[in-house]
Amino acid sequence: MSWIHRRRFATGALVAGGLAALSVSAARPAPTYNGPNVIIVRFGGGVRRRETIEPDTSWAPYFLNRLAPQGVLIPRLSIAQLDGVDTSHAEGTLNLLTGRYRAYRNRAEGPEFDRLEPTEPTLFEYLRRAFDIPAHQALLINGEDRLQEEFLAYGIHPSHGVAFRSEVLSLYRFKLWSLRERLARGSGTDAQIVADTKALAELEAKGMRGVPPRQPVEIEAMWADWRAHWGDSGLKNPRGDAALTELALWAMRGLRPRLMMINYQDPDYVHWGNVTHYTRAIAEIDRGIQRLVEAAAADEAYAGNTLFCIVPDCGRDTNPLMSVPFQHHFNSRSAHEIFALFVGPGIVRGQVLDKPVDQAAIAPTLAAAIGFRATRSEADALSEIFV
Amino acid sequence: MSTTDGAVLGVAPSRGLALGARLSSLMRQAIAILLALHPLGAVLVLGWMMRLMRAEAREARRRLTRGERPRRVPVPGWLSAADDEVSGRIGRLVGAVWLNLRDGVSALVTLAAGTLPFTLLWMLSWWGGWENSFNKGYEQSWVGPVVGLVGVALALPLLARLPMALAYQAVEGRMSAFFARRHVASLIEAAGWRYVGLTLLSAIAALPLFAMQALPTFVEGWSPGFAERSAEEIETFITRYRLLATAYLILALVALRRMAARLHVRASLALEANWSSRSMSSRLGAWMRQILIWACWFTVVAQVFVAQFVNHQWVVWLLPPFSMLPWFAPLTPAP
Repeated sequence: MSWIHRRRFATGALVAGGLAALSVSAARPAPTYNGPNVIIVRFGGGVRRRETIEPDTSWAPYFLNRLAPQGVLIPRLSIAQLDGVDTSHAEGTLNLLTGRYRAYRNRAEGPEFDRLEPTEPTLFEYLRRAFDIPAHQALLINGEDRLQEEFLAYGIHPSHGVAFRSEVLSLYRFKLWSLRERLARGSGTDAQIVADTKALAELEAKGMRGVPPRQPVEIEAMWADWRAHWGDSGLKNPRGDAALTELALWAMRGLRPRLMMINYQDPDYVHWGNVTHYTRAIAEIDRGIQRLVEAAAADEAYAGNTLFCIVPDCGRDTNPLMSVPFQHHFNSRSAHEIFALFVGPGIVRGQVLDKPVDQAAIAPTLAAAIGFRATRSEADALSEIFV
Repeated sequence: MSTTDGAVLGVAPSRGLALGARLSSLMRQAIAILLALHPLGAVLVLGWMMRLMRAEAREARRRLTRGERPRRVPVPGWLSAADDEVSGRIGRLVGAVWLNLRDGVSALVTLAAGTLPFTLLWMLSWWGGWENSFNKGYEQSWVGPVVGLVGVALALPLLARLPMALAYQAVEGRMSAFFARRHVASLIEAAGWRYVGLTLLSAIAALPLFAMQALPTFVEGWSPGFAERSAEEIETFITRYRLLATAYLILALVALRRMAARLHVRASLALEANWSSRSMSSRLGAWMRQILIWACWFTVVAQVFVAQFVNHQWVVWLLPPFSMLPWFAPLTPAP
């Protein structure tokens, strides 16, 4: 009788479970998705109500004055005060995507931090498991500086996981594709090939979760178009959060995502002491939202059939002892206080849902709008926002 | 010899006089703390410290040259001045106000000249570096770090000479003394390992100040719900916190400046006795001391940067409290 190591047995069981789930999904093809397109805008990284939805002090005029009256604004959304719940970016984003708190494990080792791997299914996994949607139509748009957000693409829940992942669009992914493609073509001088090989190795080493060798062909085609237009220096295309808007618009035109999440992040620069970075970044996100909404309205694949959900990952502190009071790691009340806006088909227009709502309710509400149940969510869907 | 303080009379003071002198000294330091709460008052405190260094140096020279037993040096007054500081009756009665202002402005000018070359670089590097990072200016990403490193490189030699240069200025009573590059370098060399000790003490004494700058960031950790307190409660807290920080700053500076003054006298006497450090071993020792002094100041620079990372205040770049104005930047909440 052979002895089987417990960990190996557990791993094998997980793999077997995953394969079983895959075989079930393979045996019964998922139905075609006919619901609305969904665009989640993360108003990140971390904003307070004061600079966003309070009329006298808002830096987001389009969002507050033009878009909010078209849907349901939830001004009293909050992150629950629970042990182990951090008011931070990856944590808050996973609260939004899973409908649960602490639905992650930290893969960080040594001096690393913030490598949160979802342990519960994300909205992308629910959606792709429930419907026949290819990976290139379930998209995360990530910033270049936060490679740890690659972890948001899928979780490790046995019934879901990598088979139902979302694809990531980011300048990091573009550079990977571009270098690999150039090397595969073998173009350039010997010196260029050596330099490209070195640059690719460095980029791959930065990948915190391992970097898949290829993305779907549709995405690679988009990268080819992107390079033809912007070049591959990274210096001509928009930068910062404006780059995220641009990537999202390109995706809408070329990939037709059915579920897309844009992870804006630049307000977080206020950590380093310049208050205007915070307010300018909020204004940039506001412009991004306007461009996304206008692009959806002008595109027949999206017009009248696109649900927008705009919600921060976390709030920011209001520290009365600091000239720059906007940190977000210190658990003050305003770091828990956020908001949400739902706009789109089937959503009540011009309503303010003025009651306390939990951040965990966002995922089941979006699931309800799409047409499935986020079975592992801790909260219920907000039925009152639907027509 | 006569001053306004009985403790420095040539005869041993009675127990009553000694207690009075001690109380008077405490009172004068308390006034310094209160004045240092405002930047203009801090200029007067700076001048007052220059006078303190002068008095300390005078006493040290008397003790070291005549072999007399040490006596407590009184802290200077805020209104009345000593006979050897001013002339005339009115001068003695209120001359300290003028002296504090004159010496304070003089020291402010020389300290600004001695520190702004690197503190300005620090501030510009921080501003430019993060501004560039925010705008994703990849093409100029080197500017912020390089300017910052140049600032640090410039800071170490300038900070290393600052305590001795200031003591020399205080004793000489002229601004040009601060800039006497060769003479100050000789004084530092003649001071030997004692100057390394002073620098080390300065670096250690700076720690609580930078901790107090950083601590408010974590207020919700040590006082949950602090942000929900009333405006009056928060104001009271801010006042007390700042008073505590300022009291520490002044008391620590008084001790450090006195030590610097005594060290200046020792070094001066050594130079007057034709002390020389031309042997190979003494040159090696001098280099070792120089490296250690720079290392100590590097830890202070690191404290500035770490504290700014945790709780950023623009003014702190220009006014690091141990090497510029004796002023602890207030906790100023954003609107």
